Amino acid sequence: MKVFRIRTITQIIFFFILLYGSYIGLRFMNFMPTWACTNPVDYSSACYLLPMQRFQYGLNPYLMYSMPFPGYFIIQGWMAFLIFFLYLIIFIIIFNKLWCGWICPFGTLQDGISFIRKKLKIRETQFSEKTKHSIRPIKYLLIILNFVMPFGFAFGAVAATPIFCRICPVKTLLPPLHGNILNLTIGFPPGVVYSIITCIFAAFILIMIFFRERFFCTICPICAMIHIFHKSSLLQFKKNVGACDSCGNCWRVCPVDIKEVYLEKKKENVIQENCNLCLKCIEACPQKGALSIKYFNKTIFSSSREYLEKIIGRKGKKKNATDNSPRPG
Amino acid sequence: MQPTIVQGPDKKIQERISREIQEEYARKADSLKRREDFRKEFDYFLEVLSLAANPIKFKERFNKPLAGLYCISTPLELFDAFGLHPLRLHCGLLPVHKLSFSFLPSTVCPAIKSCIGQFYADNSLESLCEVMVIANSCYEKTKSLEIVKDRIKNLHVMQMPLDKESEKGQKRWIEEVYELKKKLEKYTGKHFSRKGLLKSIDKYNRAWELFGRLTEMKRSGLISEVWSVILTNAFMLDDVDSWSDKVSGLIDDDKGKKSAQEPKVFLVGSPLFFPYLKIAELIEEVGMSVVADDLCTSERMFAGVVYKDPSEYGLLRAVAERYQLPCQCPIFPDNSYRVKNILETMQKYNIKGVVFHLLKGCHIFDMATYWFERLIKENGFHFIKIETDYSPEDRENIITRLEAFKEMIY
Repeated sequence: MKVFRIRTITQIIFFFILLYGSYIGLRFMNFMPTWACTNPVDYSSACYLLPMQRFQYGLNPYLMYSMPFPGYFIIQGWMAFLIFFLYLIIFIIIFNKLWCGWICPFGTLQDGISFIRKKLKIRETQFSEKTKHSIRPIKYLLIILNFVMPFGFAFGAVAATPIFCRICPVKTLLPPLHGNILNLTIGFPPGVVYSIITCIFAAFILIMIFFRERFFCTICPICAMIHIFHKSSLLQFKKNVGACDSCGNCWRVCPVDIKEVYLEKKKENVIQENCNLCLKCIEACPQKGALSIKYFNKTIFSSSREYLEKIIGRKGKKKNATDNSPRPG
Repeated sequence: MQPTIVQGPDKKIQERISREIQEEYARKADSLKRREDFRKEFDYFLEVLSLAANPIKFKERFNKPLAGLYCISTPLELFDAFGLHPLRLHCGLLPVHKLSFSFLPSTVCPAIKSCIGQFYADNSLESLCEVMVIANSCYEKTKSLEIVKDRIKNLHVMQMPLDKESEKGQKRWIEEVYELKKKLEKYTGKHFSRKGLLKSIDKYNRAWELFGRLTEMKRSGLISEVWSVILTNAFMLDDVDSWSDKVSGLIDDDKGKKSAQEPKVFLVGSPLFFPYLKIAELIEEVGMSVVADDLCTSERMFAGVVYKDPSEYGLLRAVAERYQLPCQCPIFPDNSYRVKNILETMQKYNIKGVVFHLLKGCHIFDMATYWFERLIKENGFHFIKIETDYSPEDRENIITRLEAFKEMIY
């Protein structure tokens, strides 16, 4: 079976499990580094960033004298933060960025929207290198919003709800699929101003996703967090520079428009900060072993002409090719 | 019509040379049929190549307006999508040099002498082309078209950016492909069809896939470099579907198993155009086998187009990039991937040395040999540069040099 098919099936399964799994008793909590949302009434999985924003409890001086003993909430808050941080590290070691390309329900939603655009034969928006570079810091700003702003909350400078959740576009776009349309309205908690900001932000993200594949992944703070620790993972994305013929297929089929893999002429480890390990680049590479994915330094999938031929050559044998030809992209 | 810049030779000379051309094709086809590794399936490809000597038959056979292309960077799929029959104009004929020697510098490359000479032949494929497109990879060839411009119906020059890895260079080439699309719309009176291009991409992808099988056969010694070059040269003239069907039969029918004759060499450098196959034949004659090459008329010619975005722009971008990014023509200032690929293939297939074929007067290829030789030798492989032309006079000299090279690497 082709990798893109396995990936699509995996994505669909996880999409339904993470959104509707609670109906069959599956509850994964919010320790997985993916996007989901606590807003659906009965969710089986929730956003990873939510607990990461709550470590501020451990910093709140007013909780110093709380019960059952002084400092209980400080310890509890920090423990919660450290446990969730540990989850992240463990998951990165085992899966690296497979979370993004294979499991994240918001990633699947983005792929679904792009699928509609492709069916409508609408051109994907191209970003210049300059634009791509200017977008780059956004994800780090969002990390700051997640981890630094809660300090303000801890000391009473910001009100109760986790700050990132107030403007999160996922909160507006994902819950409707669960039957919760409250967040599409003006005035939903925590208030009119934030709900307007969120709706505008969500509309902007939705439009961008439609015209540019996986746009949100290029500003995603979880993706950036995983990238910070990606070198410690057992799963690695490698390039054999000697085998590369610089055809640029890896760049062209990349949902997040990564050009660096194609341009790399020295380094072996080529995973990039926006990469979500969808493996489309490996599927589209015609050079044997030029790109590969390794686990414990053992190749589990690598590029080859034969594999690519099976995907792009098959339709040519038939008389009337159509747009339904399976493509790595 | 513009005034004729160069008056061609008189009618009698043209007729005599046309006869010589036909004789040379026939002679070459006969000698190839006498080879031990000749198979009846090869007849089809020899017939297609020989049609170049009989352009009227050629036109009748394909029954489509002809688009003559110079350089492998011109995207075939686009011409096919407009209902044109794209043919990569090339010429490996010595007699036609006589038609161009009076107005071309004597030091110019024999491939250019032949191509320009063809315009003055009694009848040639060049004279039947409705459109002629050149990507200016070879500046000498581009310039030489000035001499024959009154004999070209619709000439379009594609500017190939030399900085192919930069955003600017890539954008520029996509613009060039868009420009070509506009010109073809004008020439043919047809509107561009996205679905038409999609069909063409699939057709050429099939050819690319089959050529991959042929390359595997060559690596394992099941087909020689001579036949491999003949097959790809035939692709340059033939209808893509017919070519694919015939090659498919050739691969399906293959039953013989053997390994390539030692020592194995990598053929690099100037392209080989039928019936000029001298260097490939001589390498085999001295007992070496070419199991890989990076000639633009052989292994570098095919491009499998992969796209993500099925919109018109997405398809045109994919086609444009597939002809630009992996192009390893020596004109590019940075060709580091070329040597890396060659070294990787040599290590993988236990190839002992590189034969650098250089057509006299091809200065760009000549300039590439210095660093090329150094890198090949630094990696522990042997290297020989053979500088030659279409004439058979230096055969014995080349054989002596190749025999010495064989002794060295074996």
